[in-house]
Amino acid sequence: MAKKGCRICSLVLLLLLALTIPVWGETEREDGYYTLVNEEGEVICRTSHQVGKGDQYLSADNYLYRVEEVKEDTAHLRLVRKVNLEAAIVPSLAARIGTALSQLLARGEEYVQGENRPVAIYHTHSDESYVPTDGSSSVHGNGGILRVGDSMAQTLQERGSNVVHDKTSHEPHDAMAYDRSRRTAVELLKKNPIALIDIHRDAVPPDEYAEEINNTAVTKAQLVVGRQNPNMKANEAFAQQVKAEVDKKYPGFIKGIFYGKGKYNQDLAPRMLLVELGAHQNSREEAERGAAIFATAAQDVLTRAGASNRAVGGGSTRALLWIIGLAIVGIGIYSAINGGLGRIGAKIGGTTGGTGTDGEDPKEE
Amino acid sequence: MSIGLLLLIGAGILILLGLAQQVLDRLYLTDKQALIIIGAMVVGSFIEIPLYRGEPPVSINLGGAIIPLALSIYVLYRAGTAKETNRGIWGSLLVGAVIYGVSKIYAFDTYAGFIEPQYLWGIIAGITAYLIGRSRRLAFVSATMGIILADLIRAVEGAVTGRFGPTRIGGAGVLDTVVLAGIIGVIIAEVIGETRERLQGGPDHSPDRPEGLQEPDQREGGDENG
Repeated sequence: MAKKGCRICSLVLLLLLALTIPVWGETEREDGYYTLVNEEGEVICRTSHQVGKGDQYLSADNYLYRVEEVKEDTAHLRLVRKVNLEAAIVPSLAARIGTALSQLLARGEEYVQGENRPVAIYHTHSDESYVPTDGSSSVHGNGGILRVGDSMAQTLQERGSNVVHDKTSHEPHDAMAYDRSRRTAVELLKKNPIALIDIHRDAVPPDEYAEEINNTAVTKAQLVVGRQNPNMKANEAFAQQVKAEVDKKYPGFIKGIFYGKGKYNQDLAPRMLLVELGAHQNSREEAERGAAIFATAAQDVLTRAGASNRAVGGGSTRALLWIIGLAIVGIGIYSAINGGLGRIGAKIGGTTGGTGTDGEDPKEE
Repeated sequence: MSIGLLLLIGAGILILLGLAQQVLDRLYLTDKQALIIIGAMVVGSFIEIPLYRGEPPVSINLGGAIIPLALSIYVLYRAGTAKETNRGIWGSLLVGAVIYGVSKIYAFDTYAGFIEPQYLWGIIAGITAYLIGRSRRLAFVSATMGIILADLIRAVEGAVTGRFGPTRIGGAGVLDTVVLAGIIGVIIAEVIGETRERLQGGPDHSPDRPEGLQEPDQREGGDENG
């Protein structure tokens, strides 16, 4: 009887959960925003990102801050250091030797083909839109963000770059959207792109992104790097490289690099970039012009394989070393739980192969 | 390097060292079989099989979904008792529904959330499976089948509403959430289980424990190879 009751309860729970209405995913925060202030009380940034102690933000003028305390809607920052982005764009010795060798060995078309690897663009939140022009912050199946991606792709193509713009819908805009867009990203990676860009828009007050360049209204851009990510150092180096390149032509256009909680599929490759162009209350046309500005300024880094640098490669190596270190710690903990290294050593020295070999079912789960 | 790939490489190294024997035992696999399965998943990642060619299309990846699903079914089949098979099926349905439900109410975006969802699904499966039956087997089966189920619910939802894009179950192959959730689920259940059992003083070694749980040398007439 109890078993039957348990099954009925499970079924009811299953139905209730399956019918859950997507409450959060498609709702932008409207109840205010956080103001990030430095030790002198200067406002560094306003954001609707959930801010907590330990979060980091690299400002437009390349000061890296860490959140020390959050009181109501104000996050108090501590300056960590001034980041030298110029160092990030210096190609490594190995990269320079590689480039020189490929120029020597490959001639004409071959070299051009090698350099003409595509830059790939996709949209995890394919529904994201701009309220003033699209009428809503989320348009099913045809988000305004796709037009912003078009603008970036067109600008790069007009300047001679090979672009793959994937408009696959990953809706609904829920917590599994990144699991779905991961499949698109892996598919795009099979085309061997130099960079893979996931274009989003933010959800902050519009003046945070409003900018005027050459007497034309545009939106600024913000880059996001995932922190829960073994590839973080490589992704961070690439984001810094892109920012440094854009800063040369349009200083302040990239309003900062936000270090978010997540990995946004950036664990898949070193040159994965998440770009936010404008916010939901900016107009889409401004965001499209912002995308064109971004593409123009960052083209060299985004589309030229030779623009790789020491920092991106170094980041990957560092991630690998971290994983090896964590694996050693993990084995240590595992061995402690399982009665010490002696017992583990005995296991290694003993038989390999599960009990499946002798056909006896293990009794313990 | 992808977290999924790193975990798989790590799992491969552990298998080669014989350290994953305890986990493999519970999945009814030998070391060789486990390594062959990992290899097949890597190769199978490049094979996508269409299930529905209409709009929106549905496809399934060999390495990212079919092989993990087949392994789950094998584990359920080998479980032996109807009780455990039933628990596996109900557990998978429950975990699938929980993952789907949480994906709807958990606010995750660049501006919200406290943990990467791809890790969360495995953690949910591992904890749920342990709570249901203190079972590492169930953790693997329910995590794998739970993600596939959540994908299927979304495919049906997409077909009914006509709103969503294609559903590519396990489409990222060996890098897919299906695979990662399965691995994390087992790790979580294993860590919870081992820690809890150690905190309780370890396994019962007393001579009066059930015969099936006795060490070979404790059994009457048992030998070292038993």
